[in-house]
Amino acid sequence: MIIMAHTTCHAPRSTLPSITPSEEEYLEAIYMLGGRGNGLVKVKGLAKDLKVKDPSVVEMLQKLKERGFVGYDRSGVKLTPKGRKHAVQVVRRHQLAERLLTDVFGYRLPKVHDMACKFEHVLDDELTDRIEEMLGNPATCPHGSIIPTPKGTLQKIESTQLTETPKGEECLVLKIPEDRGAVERLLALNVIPGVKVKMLEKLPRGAIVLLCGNTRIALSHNIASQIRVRKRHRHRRRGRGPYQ
Amino acid sequence: MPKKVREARKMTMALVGTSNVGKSAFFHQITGADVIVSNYPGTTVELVEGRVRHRGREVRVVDLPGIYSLGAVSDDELVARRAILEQKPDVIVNVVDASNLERNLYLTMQLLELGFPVLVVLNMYDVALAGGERPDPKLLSKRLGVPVVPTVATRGKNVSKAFNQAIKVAHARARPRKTLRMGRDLEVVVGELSKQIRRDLPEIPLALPTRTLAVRLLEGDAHIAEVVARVSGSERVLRRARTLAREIARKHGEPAAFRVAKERHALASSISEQITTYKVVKPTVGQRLDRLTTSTRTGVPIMIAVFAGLLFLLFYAGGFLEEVLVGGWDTYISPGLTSAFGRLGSAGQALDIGINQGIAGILAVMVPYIFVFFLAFAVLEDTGYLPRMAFVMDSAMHKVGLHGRAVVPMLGGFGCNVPAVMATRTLTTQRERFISGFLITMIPCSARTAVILGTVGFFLGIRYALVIYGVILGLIFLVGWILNRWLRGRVTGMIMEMPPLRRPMLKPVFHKTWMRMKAFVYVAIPLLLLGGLMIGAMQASGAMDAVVGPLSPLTTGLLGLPAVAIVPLLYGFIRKEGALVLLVAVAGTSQLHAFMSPLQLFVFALVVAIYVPCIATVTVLGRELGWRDAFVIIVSTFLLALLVGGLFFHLNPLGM
Repeated sequence: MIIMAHTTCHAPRSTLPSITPSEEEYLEAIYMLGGRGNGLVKVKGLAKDLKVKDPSVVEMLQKLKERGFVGYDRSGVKLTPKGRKHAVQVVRRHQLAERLLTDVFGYRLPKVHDMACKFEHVLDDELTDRIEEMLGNPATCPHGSIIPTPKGTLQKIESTQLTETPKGEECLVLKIPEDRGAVERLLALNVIPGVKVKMLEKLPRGAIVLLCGNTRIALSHNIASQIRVRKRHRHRRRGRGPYQ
Repeated sequence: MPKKVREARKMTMALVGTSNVGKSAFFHQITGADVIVSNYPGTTVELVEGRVRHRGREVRVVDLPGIYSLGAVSDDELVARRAILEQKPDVIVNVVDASNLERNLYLTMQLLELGFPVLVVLNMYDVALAGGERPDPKLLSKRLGVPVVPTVATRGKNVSKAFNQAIKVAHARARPRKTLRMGRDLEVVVGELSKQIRRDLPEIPLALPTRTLAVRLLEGDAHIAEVVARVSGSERVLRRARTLAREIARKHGEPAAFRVAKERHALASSISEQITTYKVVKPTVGQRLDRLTTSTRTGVPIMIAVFAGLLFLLFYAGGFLEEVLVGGWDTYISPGLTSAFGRLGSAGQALDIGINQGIAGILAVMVPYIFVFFLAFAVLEDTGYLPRMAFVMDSAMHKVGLHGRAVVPMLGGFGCNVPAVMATRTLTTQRERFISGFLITMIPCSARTAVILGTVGFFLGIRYALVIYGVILGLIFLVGWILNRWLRGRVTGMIMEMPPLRRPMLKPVFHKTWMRMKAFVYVAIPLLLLGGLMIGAMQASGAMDAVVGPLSPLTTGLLGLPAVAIVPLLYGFIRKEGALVLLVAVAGTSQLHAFMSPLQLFVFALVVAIYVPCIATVTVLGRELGWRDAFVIIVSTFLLALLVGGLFFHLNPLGM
């Protein structure tokens, strides 16, 4: 696939049937607002999110409907399987762009999303795949959401209990307990889904000590076993991630 | 308001910060010894307040509890937040740990959002430097938009400068000059909700900045939502907030509260890194020791060693001090008092026992053992070892329905049960507070230790005293285990930061010990003297003797003790060491082994150690747990003592 320099913004970037960047934006927005699934989205919500006027939205939705990407009627708009495939690709590009910015360039969370929005427009499928490979197949974006595979499926993340992480190893937090008191304390100590922690000490069937950033945290076994994590892939990184 | 009236109003300075940042050291440096401890109205959370004179004006300095964030669930955090929002201090002094800025700035972000005048004290600057980190106060001040003063509170460095600067900030009503913003996608939503708030709410509750109110509502802050709900016309705002929060959650795949927390942490981390220069340094002794205290192989032995060390210090140093003090009293002062009182007839006899022996009791038990204990405890605290003890003990604590953090109040029980029971406030559920309160009353306090050492230790040897300790500790575990299986309720766990180990410093250690002794002296000693007078009156009037006969089946039959031993046991209800003092009195001799057999001495000491808590402890139990629970504890320990004492007498497992 050759990208002509002067038409970068308008050249098709995916192997799927040609689709314009603005159409992609819409699909991405419908996908996200629909809760990354098949949720129904209202025109007003879409208009607000994309910062365009309602009539423009309606016009675009008609076009997308004709092309078979969405189902659209009075109650709202929903992605078709075809549309979903596209949307997932766009999201994947965006998330990998975010990962690239944080992991390699050391961008911090507050700026990452905005920058990725601009950055993603230069990525085509091939580059996106290369980035993913170079980053060592990260499972989640810096905010903790799962990155879709090239095929467009959301990979199932195997999660294990934090207590199963061996001493001295790092892991990525996926889920924390629901108890409000525990949540408040964990949030304050930065043990949040998407954050990397390291297992420092582990007493047999007893308490553990985690390293989170610069802070050492002791957790009872019952709380630690309710925290689900994923083993981190080791990959070459130059910058510091967003949470270290 | 006219200038004169404004100046006459007292200025309030609130100290806010996480635990272990030297906030109390800072507080005590500026307030000295004159402090009052009180509860925030309607809660059990304590605030410490002091007054300082500054250029002729009085400044009220309030030390808020150590908190990790301005949360809405935990008691401490809610009280800290309410104390600020409802009482509106003139300046918030945020004490942060310069060696762990990244974690501390999380709270700072939240404080800045409140819109109050703030001064940041960059404390523990020496620790940061020792770790090779040099945070730049001027740069930090620029980034945060508030003044920043570096200090080393434990050495008093720059503390007055920080204090004076804080006063200036208060006078100038200088609010934070910057608003620290999150990612644009979040800020857009915040902006929308802010617009809605400005439209619908004529007056912002709690005088919060609009943006802050919006962020808090998006986070789902229960307390703020409740306050807003009370304003008429707020339903639309609350509904909008919920809708927007749901949108954020759907778009980002995580609750808005998590996202906001992450943003704050990221900001904290990025600011901390930007303003700090780093240098490579060798790991300190503290760091190397650190791994040993928590590792699987060495952590438990170290803890046992520390605990054993504490006990032996109590026995020997305490015992030594006791001899010196009591010896001095008995030789120089007591005879004079006895003869003076003797001239007053039977009332004089009561006074003699009450005051003379009462003070002897205080000198024999309270001062030496409690002083030694408070000192050792302060040293342990200062080194930062206690969280490690909590870590190692956590799984054992879970078996009795508690968790690691309960270790600290329970350890305090070895000194005196009274402050230990009060310290159970820091535990989260009523179930935990009940279990720990119950178990604390079984822990041998200084008074009980004195009785054990004075009977079994002195006449049978130190080994038997250790056996009694062993039996007691075993019973504590057993009772805790039973309570855990029996009582229903929520089980929580420990989530606790472990600060690095450091060398204890003499001044803070002595200062803490002094403050605690003072509190103890002012509260406990009047109670103890009163108890002593009660004992004296009952003794002199012979009221107790009428009881000996009827209760003898219990005393001799069940416990195998001489019938008159019931008298000191009853006195033990009031003051534990009263049991020892009265035992000598009814024995007619201080050579107790002539009066009772070894087995009887053993059973006596064991019963005194377990059976009901003293009156002072009962009072605190009632206040902390409610009188029904307190009554259950009293009755249970009483029955347990009878059971165990009786078993030992009848079965004589040690063959004495």
